[in-house]
Amino acid sequence: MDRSFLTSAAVVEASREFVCIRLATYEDREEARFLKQIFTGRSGELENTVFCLLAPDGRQRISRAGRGPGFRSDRQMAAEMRELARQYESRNDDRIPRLPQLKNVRLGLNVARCDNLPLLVCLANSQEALVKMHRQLAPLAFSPELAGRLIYASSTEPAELKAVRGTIPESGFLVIDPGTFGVDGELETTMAAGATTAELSEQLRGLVTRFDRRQRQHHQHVREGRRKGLDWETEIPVTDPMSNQARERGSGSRRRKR
Amino acid sequence: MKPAIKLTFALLFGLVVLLSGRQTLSSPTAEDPGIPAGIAWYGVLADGLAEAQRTGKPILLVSAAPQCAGVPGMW
Repeated sequence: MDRSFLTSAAVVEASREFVCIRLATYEDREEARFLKQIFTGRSGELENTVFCLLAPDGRQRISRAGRGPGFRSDRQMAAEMRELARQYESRNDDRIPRLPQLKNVRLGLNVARCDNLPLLVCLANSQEALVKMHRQLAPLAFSPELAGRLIYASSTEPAELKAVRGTIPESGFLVIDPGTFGVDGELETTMAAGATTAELSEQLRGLVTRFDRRQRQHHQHVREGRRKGLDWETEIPVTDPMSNQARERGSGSRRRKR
Repeated sequence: MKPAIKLTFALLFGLVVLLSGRQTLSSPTAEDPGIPAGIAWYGVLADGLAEAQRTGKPILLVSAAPQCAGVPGMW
């Protein structure tokens, strides 16, 4: 998939009139079933990447579905998105949006590294406390200063953060710098669960200005990861033939090196 | 042009280059964040679908594997 389209300023701006869902392929059985209804490649199986624009009901396709956006340019994609968005009357009720988060910390670390962004983890000792934290954080997550600049995840289990270096508190908003391969990380800063929205906003706005985005070459990253013997375990089997071939080649080279 | 004038121009030019370099290297401000604006992605399908139903907005759906040839940390 040409992901450069998804970081283009024009597409980012157009995305504000959409609800944007990016799933991690092969990390949830139900989601995989949904994705297969949207698109399967020549293999007839769920492949690594899926792209589609959908109506608000989540069923009706309003663009062609494929492995990637399939537009000639980011500008064309943005223009078509704006045109499509005009056909729907969005409602603005008083309810607070849901927090745009990953399903767990493990995936959060990985996706944060993939995007080269900090990970913010809401850690609490109960679901009720988490809901309260989400209500406070979600409007900030969609604010112009922070939208798309952080990755979010939540947990009620401090053990979920065992791969994170630093002193993990019992609860709070934890900002983590993901490690090179997104399997660990370093605690950058912690904000108390009782922090005010203004305090949170100020801290996070400062953080996104300071965060060190490490540039990495794709091939170098994969080569280094293989050398270190890393092999990400997906929740469900990978069914993309090309991806499996690449993985086999990788594990072959890992085996040879042992 | 006299050598003294040439030297003055060269020094002024050098100063301008130095100052613009300092501006580029200075820390970004909250108004000019280091991380550019991005798409605010829902990473859980149920959350995103519920939000689309609530707001009536259409959906931009993408899926990608957060590993390349089994190596995590890269789409």
